[in-house]
Amino acid sequence: MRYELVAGLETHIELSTESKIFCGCTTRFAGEPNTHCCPVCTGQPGALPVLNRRVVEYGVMAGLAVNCSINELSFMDRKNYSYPDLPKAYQISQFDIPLCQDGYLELSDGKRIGIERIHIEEDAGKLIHRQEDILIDYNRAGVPLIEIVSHPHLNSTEQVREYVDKLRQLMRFIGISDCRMQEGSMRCDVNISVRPVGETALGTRTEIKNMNSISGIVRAMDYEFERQCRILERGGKILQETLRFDEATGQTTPMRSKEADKDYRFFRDPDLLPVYISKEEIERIRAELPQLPFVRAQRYVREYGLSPEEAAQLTGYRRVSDFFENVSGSVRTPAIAAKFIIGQIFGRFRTEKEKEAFEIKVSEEEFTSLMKLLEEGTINHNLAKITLEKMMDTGASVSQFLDKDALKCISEEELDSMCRRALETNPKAVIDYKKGKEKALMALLGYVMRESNGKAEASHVREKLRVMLSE
Amino acid sequence: MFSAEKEGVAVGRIYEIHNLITKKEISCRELTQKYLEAVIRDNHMLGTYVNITAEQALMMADEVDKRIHSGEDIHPLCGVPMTLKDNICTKGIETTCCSQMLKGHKPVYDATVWQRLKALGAVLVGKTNMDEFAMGNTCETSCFGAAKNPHDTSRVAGGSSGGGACAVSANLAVYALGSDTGGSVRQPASFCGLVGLKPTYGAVSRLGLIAYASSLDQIGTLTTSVEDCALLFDSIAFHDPLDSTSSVSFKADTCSSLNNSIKGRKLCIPQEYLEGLSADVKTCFEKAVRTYEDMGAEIEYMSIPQLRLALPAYYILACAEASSNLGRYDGVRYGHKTDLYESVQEMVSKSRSEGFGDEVKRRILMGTYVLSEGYVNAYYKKAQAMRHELAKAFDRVFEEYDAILTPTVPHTAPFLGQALTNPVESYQSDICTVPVNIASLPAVSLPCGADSHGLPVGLQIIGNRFCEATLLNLAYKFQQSGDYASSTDWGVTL
Amino acid sequence: MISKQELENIALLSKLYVPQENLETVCRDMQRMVDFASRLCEAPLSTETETDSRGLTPLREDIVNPSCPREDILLNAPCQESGCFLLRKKV
Repeated sequence: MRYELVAGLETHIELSTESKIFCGCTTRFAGEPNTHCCPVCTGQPGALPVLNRRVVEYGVMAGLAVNCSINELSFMDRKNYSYPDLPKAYQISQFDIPLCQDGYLELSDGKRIGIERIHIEEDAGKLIHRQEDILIDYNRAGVPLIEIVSHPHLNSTEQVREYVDKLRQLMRFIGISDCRMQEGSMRCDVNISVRPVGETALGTRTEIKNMNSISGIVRAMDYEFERQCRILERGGKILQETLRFDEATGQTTPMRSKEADKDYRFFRDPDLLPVYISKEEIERIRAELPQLPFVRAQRYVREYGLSPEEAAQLTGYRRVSDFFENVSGSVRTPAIAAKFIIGQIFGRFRTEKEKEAFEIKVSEEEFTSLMKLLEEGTINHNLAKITLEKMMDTGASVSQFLDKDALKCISEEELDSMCRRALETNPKAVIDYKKGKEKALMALLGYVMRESNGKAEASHVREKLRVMLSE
Repeated sequence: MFSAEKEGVAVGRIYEIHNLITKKEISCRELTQKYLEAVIRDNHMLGTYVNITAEQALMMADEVDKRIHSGEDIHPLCGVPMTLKDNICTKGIETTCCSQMLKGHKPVYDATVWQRLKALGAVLVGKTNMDEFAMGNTCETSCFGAAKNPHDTSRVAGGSSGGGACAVSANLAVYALGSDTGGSVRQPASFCGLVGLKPTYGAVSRLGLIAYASSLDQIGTLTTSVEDCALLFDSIAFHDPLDSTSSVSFKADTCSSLNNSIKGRKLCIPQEYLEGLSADVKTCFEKAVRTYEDMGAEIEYMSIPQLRLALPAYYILACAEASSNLGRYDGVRYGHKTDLYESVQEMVSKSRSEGFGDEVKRRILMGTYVLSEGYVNAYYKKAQAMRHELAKAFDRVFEEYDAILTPTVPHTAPFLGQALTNPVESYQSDICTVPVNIASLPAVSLPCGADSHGLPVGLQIIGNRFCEATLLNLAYKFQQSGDYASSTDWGVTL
Repeated sequence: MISKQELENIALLSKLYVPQENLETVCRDMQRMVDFASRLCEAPLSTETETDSRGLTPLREDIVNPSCPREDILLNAPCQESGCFLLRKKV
């Protein structure tokens, strides 16, 4: 019997707002325990929540980015349960009428993973488990989250990997979260079930909670898929349970499930009123959204003739992508500009942080000027490369390196005289070449390139020298 | 200079005090000391205060005296000895909700309303007794023992703001702030012969009011006169951006219209409110109705059938919200924590079971029940629908009428211990007050006579949302039409 | 009728401990409250409409306000250590 994997993901993403969702405490990461807190986010008696506008805006942005419809009116509900990291013994979330619903994320093969809903909610505090006790830090309590719930449309770990990657890239791109899984600003709960190939009904699913790395998700899913298949093959039944993935053993283990606790007794939070966002507001947000990375990438391939890999590289990070966007509008051949960006500029960055920050000393205008000079033929490829390096090092403008004279092309006569000078001042090289040492030519070429400040066309010079040397 | 004699309005106790201290006939310190001495003398017999803040009171009084001596024009509320119900957060001052759960708890912030009154120069004599977490209507569920009725100490002061009503009625404070979720300010006012106002939901900030039922709670006022009530209300009703349910546009101004003519005002009396009244209450109420007629108001008897289901709806909604609001008391961040336990779960359950009294526990269980998966539609959602129906019904009433007249409570103050024998039966006495909270309306209770034992009877006037000016105008005119003010021999005599 | 089992489940959800000997009394008390509330059940009410007459939720600007000093946050804590709330797993 062959089984098919069916998975849906619930992804929690911490929004990068300045302040928490219901109070003005900072959302800054780390910090001494309980120093980013107030009566509201620690659930003190008598404290009341007030909703952060930017949380709603970011929620709408996330929804629009995955093609959701936005509910003008949505409601905040209380999800009641008791746990030490939950200050009020309820989480303020959205239950039956969330901010966004019915969207999709398209994978590279065209498959659309349905997104059931996106809602806004608050995060809980952090528990530090020790042998005998638990330490509790509420700095994270009240940090705004969006929860993106997909339909169970994922059928392989590869698809899940791509889904998570794309979602992360997208949310970073539109600027609502840094989506750093290792730091916990993006976490996934995986709902997984199996069914015989060809079957349409869904099997009983289990939920693997709090996955914070893609590799972990893949390992956990592989294990769980195997486990469920084995049970079904034996004729057993899958228990609907909540599981934890043990990194060390590579196995999923049940979390202690307290049956009665699963009743969250959702009801409208009476301390808050309905959340309203007007059609105009939604359209304004939509207009201000950048063109999304995948769409941009497709356009680059289609219109500029970039390779899919190049396009992906350029749309991976918001700032790089914006840089290229702005430059490509002003140059004739964006493909050339793309190669420079990828090859030279990008090559300088090692870490993800650096790539995201994209801190370079070259402005879009300066880079565009350089590209224009290249396109006009005023400078050659080599010179452009060298100049760009100098610009990135110093931040100085193009004109600093290429003065009026230098921008003129070298005439053939000038080139000839440079070549003859090369032969005259490097007699040893001439002799070596005539003896058969090809390498000697490089010394002569080097001389001419230096003389011409790199402006000479290397292959052209080489030809000239060969001709002269054969005389 | 604030003039008390504006448009012929009487000088209430607040202005009396204001005049005494600004004319320097008595210093604020001396005045405060009088109150403190009286409190210390009478409190153990009345069960009024659960926390007497003598040191702070004298400090605040000294501040006021300084301001007076510097020639500063002070607000009428400045230097007036007052109290707060012990569910209103006072920074650094123990706030317990009269529950073992919060014994020793010191809030780290002030309730918005208290912040405002402090800034105006109020002198806090102490925190007053209440039913535990405001759940009750006799003040007997307090972990500190009940507050007694100053008119007859074998009877209750009422609840849940029993201590506040007792304090004002026993001359142990000039005014008190309480909270009203189903009648908890109006009913004690009725039992003790005071003016008790429950403002429109959203008129007064709830920030710092320790929640019982968030969509029903409002901070209310307890005073000896309508003019005091108006002054106090105008001072504490303002928009608070830190309370999402606080009204943004409402501007309180009830003082300037107190003495307006009420001729031609249309008042109605729903017959559902006339059932089950004791003979004395019936007599006093009918007399009050005739008084309004004599003053030129038009009275009509009518019916609001939805009122019959208001009480069950109220208990479902209140218990549901309470069960959620009180979930946070788990011994982790504050509050009572049990000594011995085998697991975190056990610690939480034991702490809560030890910290909460029986009525609180019953209401939490009830609230959990009506919100639970199997029952939420039958109970909670139905109660919400009922709420909506009732609000619509009242909207229609106010299209035709200016206000509704009802008795506040169907009876006068019961004896101590009566309610505890059958809690559910005692819910019945909330029948006149509860619909007001459900529909988010304002209502005021004022004394309209006494029964054969001399116990005060209360008249309730219900107004449309944010129409406190009309409400207090009608109340003031009634107050001035006769001699209904009741006094007791306790406390301070000035 | 509320069964003892049902009451135990409700107590578990409420995080309240009802000792065995009190179970029957509490059951009876609960039943009285539920009966009282059940008067509402017969009413032909439509649970369709969703309106909050109090208006729409106000939105605040995303500005950081200074947090409370840690001593205040921990002021009423039954147990604390190294700036955190401390919860012993058993005592």
